[in-house]
Amino acid sequence: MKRIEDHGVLGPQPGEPIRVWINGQAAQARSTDSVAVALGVNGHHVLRFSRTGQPRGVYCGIGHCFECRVTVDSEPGVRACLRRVEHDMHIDTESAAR
Amino acid sequence: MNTDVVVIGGGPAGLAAATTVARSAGAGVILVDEGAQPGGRLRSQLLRGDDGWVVGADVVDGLVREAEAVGVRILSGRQVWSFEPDWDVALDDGCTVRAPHVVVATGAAERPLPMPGWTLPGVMAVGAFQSLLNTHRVLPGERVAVVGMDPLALAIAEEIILAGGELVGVFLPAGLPGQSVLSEPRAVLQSFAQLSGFAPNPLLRSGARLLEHPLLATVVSAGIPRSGLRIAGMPLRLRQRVERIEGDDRVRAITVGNLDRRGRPRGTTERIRVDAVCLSGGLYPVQDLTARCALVDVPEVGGRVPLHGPDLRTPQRGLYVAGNVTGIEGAPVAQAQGALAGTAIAASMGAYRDPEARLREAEARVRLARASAPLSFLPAIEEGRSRLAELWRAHEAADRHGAQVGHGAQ
Repeated sequence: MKRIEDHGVLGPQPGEPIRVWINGQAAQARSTDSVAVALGVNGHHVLRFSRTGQPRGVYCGIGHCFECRVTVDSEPGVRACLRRVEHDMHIDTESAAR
Repeated sequence: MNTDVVVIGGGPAGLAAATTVARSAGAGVILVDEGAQPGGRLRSQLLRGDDGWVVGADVVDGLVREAEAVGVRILSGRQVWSFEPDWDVALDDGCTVRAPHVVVATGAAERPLPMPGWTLPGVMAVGAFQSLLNTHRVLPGERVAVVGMDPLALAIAEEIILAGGELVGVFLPAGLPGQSVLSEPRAVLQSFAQLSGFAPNPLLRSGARLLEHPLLATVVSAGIPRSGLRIAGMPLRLRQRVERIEGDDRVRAITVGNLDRRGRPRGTTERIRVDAVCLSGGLYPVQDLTARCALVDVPEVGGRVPLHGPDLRTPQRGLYVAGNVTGIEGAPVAQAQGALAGTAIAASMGAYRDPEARLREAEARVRLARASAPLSFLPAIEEGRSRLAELWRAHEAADRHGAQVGHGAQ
């Protein structure tokens, strides 16, 4: 995923730069990002694995499919597409455990 | 916790219902929404207006301000897990809200469009693309294929280009037995012609001008051009159908099957490099919370919906529905429906001196919104709405009959 620096209709990026921790590493996000966006722009597309080991990422983006579950500040099963990031939030994907 | 009205869902329908009943009846209203911010899908939409783009987020922010100004309490990032008569609404933290009135405005979700490789990271539904592009201002990929050809697919294709993404094309799916998504080139062109004749969406209207005469005629007589067709600048790759999506830890390519000029498979394939795929399988009304309502199956409105009256009441006392949970339509219709449900509840609370006139006016606004809808998702929505009205009349007649039988027995 790549940020659209200046959208033709919507204008420049919303929010302010903030720091989050992805799988223990400091990373930059913006205050208006969802957890899914913070992960995507930092190159994390695989968020978890199916029972048979297939990679999974964001699919529906509206909270319905539950494919994008990650751990946020030790809370497991958080839908990355719905939760907004906060400064110093700790986000952990399943791929880190592998 | 006690209140007068609980509204479930913070899209245009839920927000309008909450504001209307709070303002008209001075009712206490709690609105529960699972998004980080209220607004539902409208927050991520760009709508074509007469004078350029209308930004859904601006519309939504206005609706939220109105709701808050009349004292609606909005609980964001919260889920309703269940509710039961009449009415205890159970929230995700174990808390229960008790209210005599509930409005279900849970909206729509997307039908999946499964095909080999569809679970790879980077393959997403239209809703995800809308959020990424228009709310978060992020490009899901640099080379994108859209699969599925319907109004939503055309809209997202345009929004990908608007955001600076490279759109390799809008493709048909190869289709699996029983899938409701169109996979025949001519069926798609005909559906576009029907939709555009029905509702004057500028995007489709410009396509219809091309399609109605020369192009559709050409397609019928001489076949489909090799490069497909362009509708309002969107490349519709009508000679190639997506058979599978490929990748390792994420999507890398699509494999398309080539069609001949008549739309028949030629038996050859081609691999096209992409790094994101948007699947458009169409919308259905979300009935996660209404499983115990009387549901009726009306394909013309998008599937199973709660039985409801012209003022959006259901057979269960105090339970109302509004928005896409009653059938698939655009945000302006959902908003008008929300206002109608709010008016109906306010009327039942004795808020108006002239309740009948208020209800008729609110119903007329729904019809007006429908008639002037910029985008129609389903070609036979009017027939579907008529069918729902008939089903309600039949329900009321059976109810009266039941009441008479009951009196006779006494």
